[in-house]
Amino acid sequence: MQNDIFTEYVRKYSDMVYRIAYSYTRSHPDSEDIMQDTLLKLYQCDKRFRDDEHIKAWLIRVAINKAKDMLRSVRSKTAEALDESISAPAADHELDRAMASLSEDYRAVVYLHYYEGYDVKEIAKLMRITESNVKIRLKRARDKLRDFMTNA
Amino acid sequence: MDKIKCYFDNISPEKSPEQIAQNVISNAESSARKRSFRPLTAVAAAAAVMAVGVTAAAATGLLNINDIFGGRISAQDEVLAGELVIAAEDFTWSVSDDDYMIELKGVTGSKSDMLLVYEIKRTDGKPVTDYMTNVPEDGALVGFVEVGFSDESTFSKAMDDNQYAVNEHGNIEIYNRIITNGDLSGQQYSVNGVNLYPYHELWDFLQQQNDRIFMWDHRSDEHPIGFYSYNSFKENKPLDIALNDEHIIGLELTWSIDFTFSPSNTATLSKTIKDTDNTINIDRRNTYSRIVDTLDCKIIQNHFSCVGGWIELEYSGEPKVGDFENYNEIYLITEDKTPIPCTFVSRGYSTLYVNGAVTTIDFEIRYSDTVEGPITAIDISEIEAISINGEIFPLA
Repeated sequence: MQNDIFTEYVRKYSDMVYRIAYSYTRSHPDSEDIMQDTLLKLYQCDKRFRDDEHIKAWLIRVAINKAKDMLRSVRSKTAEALDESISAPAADHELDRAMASLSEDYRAVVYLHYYEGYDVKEIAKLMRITESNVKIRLKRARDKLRDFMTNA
Repeated sequence: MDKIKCYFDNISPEKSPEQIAQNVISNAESSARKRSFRPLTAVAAAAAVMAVGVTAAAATGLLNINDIFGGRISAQDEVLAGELVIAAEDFTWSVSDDDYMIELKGVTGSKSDMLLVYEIKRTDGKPVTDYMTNVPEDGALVGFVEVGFSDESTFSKAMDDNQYAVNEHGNIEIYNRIITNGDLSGQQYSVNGVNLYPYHELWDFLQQQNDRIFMWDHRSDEHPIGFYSYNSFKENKPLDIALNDEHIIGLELTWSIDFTFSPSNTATLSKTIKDTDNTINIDRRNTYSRIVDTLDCKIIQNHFSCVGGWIELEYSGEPKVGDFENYNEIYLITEDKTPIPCTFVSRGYSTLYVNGAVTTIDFEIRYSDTVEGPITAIDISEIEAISINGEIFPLA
């Protein structure tokens, strides 16, 4: 891929890739690594993309795969639970703790729906899960966030 | 939900997009330069050996490993590439559907390290992908597989690498690699496989079903998903995914292969670090704190063959999860002082055994400058030492 085209894609999508990685890992260093790996894959691939939406969906899929691979790699080497306290402090501490209480798949669905604006059908395709699964995760995430914020 | 938007607005990389792009471009260019460090001898294609039903041992010398293993392992020269083709004695195969067959592409390795590639294809020559229920976009597959050697007692620890993928012919190419601390020579190797699934879809499905990550743990008797077992012929049934509403199976098939592993003379060559009294310093980045520390280790056992090495170390202190793979400089040193880059690879469960205050850890020493890069097969008889973080350890 040409450097100037690649740089333009990085301007457009690096934040998105980083946020997806963070949804899974809740670690800035790990998110940095996943973002770099994902963008490297984009730089080195010779795939022809139809349009911006196609690239965006491809990047989301690759980032999710890499985040899951990283989580699997860490968990298969030890039985220790991941230390959630390694994440950097967020501007809203209550919401940060509320998000931390969700599993990584729920956080990813929340991000894709409420931040990136994908609908249930689109999320199902991106995450390779059923639409009913997406709806269940969204509902449970909303309920959990609401309960957490109410009790905080 | 404005709060959620604000929450994610505050999550972004430290570097600017331009810096990120430049980093990626630099890394890509650096990797390309590293890969070209050792130009490989071009080799001509040779006739493939067909494995149909019961077959005699594959003739050595007709093939070389550069052709068989493609980008996974290449020998430094054509002569070595031929000498490292290993016979699969008494190779047999079976599949549950008459429309399919198995072709053994080749076997290589050493007396403690076996690599093989075989292909599931159709008897009518059509691509297997034309008949698959699900074909993954990235070609990555996974199967429920039992692998085993006839004498389990010869190896107490083993590492494995298994890859299933759709190849350029639309068939299923399966790569198995097993590295042990024992002697595999003369042992019968068996594989029993059940079904093939798109890799990422399967993991997503398993997580949904039980809302937890499945761990591959060979040490326990429980195999929650029955993926792999080194206890030959032990009954491990895979989850009946087809019964669920998520019909994600790629290919419904059972298959098996069986052969006796007989390394060639060159493949059985090996060397070890004889002087194990000295301390060896290993660097590790703690996974959570990100701090890089140095462990003072003693060598328990080690061996180096033409296709790779194994080292078991012990150190005092608390075991911590860490990244060893990217933090140690390792080179094989040839007799004419040429360095050959290597990488520590800690695989799966074979790490961090704790025995009181002493922790042991095993590594594959991969003859490659990256964890995932192609292996360079070398003539171990021409290697005189290994350098680990600047310390030279003679090999004999």
